[in-house]
Amino acid sequence: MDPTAVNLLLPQNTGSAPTESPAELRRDITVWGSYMWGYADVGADIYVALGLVIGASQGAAPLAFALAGLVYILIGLAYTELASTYPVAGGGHYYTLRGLGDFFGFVSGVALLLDYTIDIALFAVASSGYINFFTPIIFGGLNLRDFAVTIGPFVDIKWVWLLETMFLVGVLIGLNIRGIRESSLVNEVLGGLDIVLEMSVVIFGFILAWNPALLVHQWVYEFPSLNQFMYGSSLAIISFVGLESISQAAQETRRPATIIPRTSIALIFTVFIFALGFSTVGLGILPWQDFRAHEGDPIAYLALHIPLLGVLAGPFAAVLGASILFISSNTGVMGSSRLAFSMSQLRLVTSWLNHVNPRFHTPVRTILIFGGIGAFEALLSFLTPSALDTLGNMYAFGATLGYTLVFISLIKLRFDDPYSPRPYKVPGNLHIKWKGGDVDFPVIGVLGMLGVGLILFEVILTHEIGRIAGPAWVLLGICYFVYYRRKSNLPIFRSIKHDWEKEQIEVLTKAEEFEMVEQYKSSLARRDKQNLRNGTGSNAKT
Amino acid sequence: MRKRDLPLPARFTLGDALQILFGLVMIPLGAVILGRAFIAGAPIPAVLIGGAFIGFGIYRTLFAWGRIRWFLEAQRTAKRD
Repeated sequence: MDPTAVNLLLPQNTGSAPTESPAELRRDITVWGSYMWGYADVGADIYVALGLVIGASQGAAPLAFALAGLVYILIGLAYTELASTYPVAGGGHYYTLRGLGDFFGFVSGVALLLDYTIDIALFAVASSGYINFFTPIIFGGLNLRDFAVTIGPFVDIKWVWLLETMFLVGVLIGLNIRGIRESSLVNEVLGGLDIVLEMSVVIFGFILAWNPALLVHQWVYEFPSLNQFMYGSSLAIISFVGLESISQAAQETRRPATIIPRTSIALIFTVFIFALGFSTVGLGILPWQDFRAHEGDPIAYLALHIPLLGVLAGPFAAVLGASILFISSNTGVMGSSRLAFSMSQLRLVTSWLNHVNPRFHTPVRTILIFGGIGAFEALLSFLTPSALDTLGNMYAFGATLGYTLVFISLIKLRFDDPYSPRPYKVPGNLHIKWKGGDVDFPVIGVLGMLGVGLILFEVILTHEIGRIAGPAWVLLGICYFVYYRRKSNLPIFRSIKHDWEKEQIEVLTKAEEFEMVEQYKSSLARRDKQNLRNGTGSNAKT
Repeated sequence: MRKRDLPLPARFTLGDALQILFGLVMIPLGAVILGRAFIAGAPIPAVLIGGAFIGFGIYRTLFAWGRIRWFLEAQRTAKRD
């Protein structure tokens, strides 16, 4: 579950569009380091990804998770460096804008918007899937997800599951328009229960039910073809999303530059190990074909097969999965509003989107537009053989495109902005001289960029729908960007001038990183002195 | 990261307790996985997972232990003041 999930079920008391948190709301540091990650370690994504990845990668699912996970670790390290250096909530699109300019910042934002809308659709579909865990019990053996109809060329449309999904998306849109928010207590209780359940499934699964011989048999005799493996490992990246929450946490925590690196690295490795743990315990308990047949509720189905506990753990996992996925779907609604606001502040999209309804005090336009897009995507996905698969395709495209741009920005910012203090740097750097200064060239950063680029390539190669719909979405976005910038008399491929140095000082001051402010000012002063000596004048970047 | 670089913890929450328990549990779980894997002929994925759980569980436990000590120190300092 993304910890940026804005709360339901309490009256919203803001009169403005979602904005960055004011400095006075920065949270105290707890013993573990960041209160936000009480449950985010092994979040909602595994409830969806486990069935999809095992269904595609078969006996090699642990390897698929491992390869995607290694790339994820590198992406996570990149986000850790960028979030601790630039502690604002803008996330990937902000880092890309800083590193590569307005145009690519927009492309990154559009990729992220794709993921937020798919978030709405994918998690609503998945939530309905877990609700359907109970329908055989209620309806005497009939599972509602199996009700299907053929209309023209569209075969096997699971219309009841579709209706359930549409209902959930409609409820989310309605709640967000009304400004109904959940209490943070509900969030924390659910998150805590999620950690306990997921730990229990892994621990008791390994102790009571795991058969290593079954794992070995499937590894040897059910190894997928290269194409299937590439498909599965590119889908596995959806288990590892949620890194935007690191930048959100950086804005909302006191002293983020010093606390975020340590706790985010712990988070990243925990997600990685648990994704591997789930796939390993799963294939040691059930054949991979069972996961494919139960792609709608894989965790509940797995929990059901744990001896002694299964009769309770299965239904408990289904209820928890449905709840957490519903809340995660809500993240897409609020995340897209927040992102649209951030992009409009940076003059990448129109501020028309940020209109706040005077009656409900909510950004109704973004909620309706992006909620509507999510509903439409869900509808289209049910016209394909597997709605979850199709939406997973799209999610993987958006995520890998965004991450590729973040890596390129990380490398470029080492050159363009060597003066910002970096309390954490991605390890494995080559110290080089560049234009009279010193730069740490990130060798591992380049490997990460190649790794995520490879996954993006796998997505384009193996995802029939993702490779068409994903680029089409980006292209549509670019057409809008050209139209908006032309209409606003702003440059299209060049960037609007920013005083990044002034902004960086403000950002670090708000974050109470006063030592870093002093460090930054000293670096700039040394640079200016050096430039005066060389007779080149100030080198201020705008 | 050196102790003086990190801000002292101000609160100990239920979330923190869960995280610490989580880390502690990873160590015996890793041992169980390794044990069962070796009985079944040591398949590589299982051995790696078991080792990863143990190693990372130890890391998280040491991290938590350091943070708890600083929290208690911060509490003692606050009481004295």
